[in-house]
Amino acid sequence: MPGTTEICILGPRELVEPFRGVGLDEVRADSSNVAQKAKELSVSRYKIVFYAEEFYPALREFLLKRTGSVFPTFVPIPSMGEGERYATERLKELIKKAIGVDVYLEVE
Amino acid sequence: MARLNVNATRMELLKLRKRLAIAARGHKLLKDKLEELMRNVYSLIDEIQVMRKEVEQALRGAFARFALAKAQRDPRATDLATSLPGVKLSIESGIRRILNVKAPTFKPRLEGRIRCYGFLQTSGELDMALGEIVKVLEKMVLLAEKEKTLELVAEEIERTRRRVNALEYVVIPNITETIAYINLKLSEMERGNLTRLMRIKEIIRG
Repeated sequence: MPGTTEICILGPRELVEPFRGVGLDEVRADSSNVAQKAKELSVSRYKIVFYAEEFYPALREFLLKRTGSVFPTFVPIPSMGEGERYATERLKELIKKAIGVDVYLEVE
Repeated sequence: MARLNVNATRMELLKLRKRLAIAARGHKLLKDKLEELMRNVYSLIDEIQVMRKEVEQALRGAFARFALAKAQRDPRATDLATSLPGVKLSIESGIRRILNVKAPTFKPRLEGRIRCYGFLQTSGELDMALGEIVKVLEKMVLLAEKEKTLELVAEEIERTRRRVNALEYVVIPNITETIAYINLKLSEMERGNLTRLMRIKEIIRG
């Protein structure tokens, strides 16, 4: 039954649709309103929010502000097609922040 | 280095020695914490690298199949089929502490059947797409846990590194310099007193 899980997907229509089929809540957004939607989700009952990685530039500021908070956990997932690989870039940034150098190895 | 603004007295000297001992101990503890956090980060990176690759590959495959499913049959039928899911992913969430870093833990649990729609109006690609997503869902939840932990640990490492550096390059050298200054000042005062006493003795004898 929709609306009962603690996980939601934030993204464009084509990304959220497949997840709706497996019972995850969907929040449709585009780059103009994604920051507002993410703000609303950050004070909701959700524990995990998967968002389309193409929204990372629009959400970057918001995500930086809530670095210390645990729930909900915002995690980027790939969009349709090859995309910009913002999720990997974000990971590289985190690793650089932690150990000073980028040691992220892209597994083939 | 800057000397601390304190009076050159024995009392202050004792206080500063105590502060130096505490600062040195704190520095050692924070350095140990930093090393342990770094060790955690390395193991997290190894796990995340593999998991993210697997999740991304599986999702891209599932998205492609889903797009195909919509193209092959009436998209409205696909929409209808996905609008009443028979499967539910619930998570048991908690918080664990890694060296005082509060990190989330998620235990995913899948219930129900994926295919709760008729096969006539939907494509086989839809079944496969949903099946692939269900397979990767648990991994996505675990990836969320690991990535958030990495984010929080990275933040803590940055904070701890700043503290270690502040102790190593500012606090400890400042206290050490002030202790040396007070020692010199006290010795100087002692020498002054001794000279004064000798001079008074000479005057009295003379």
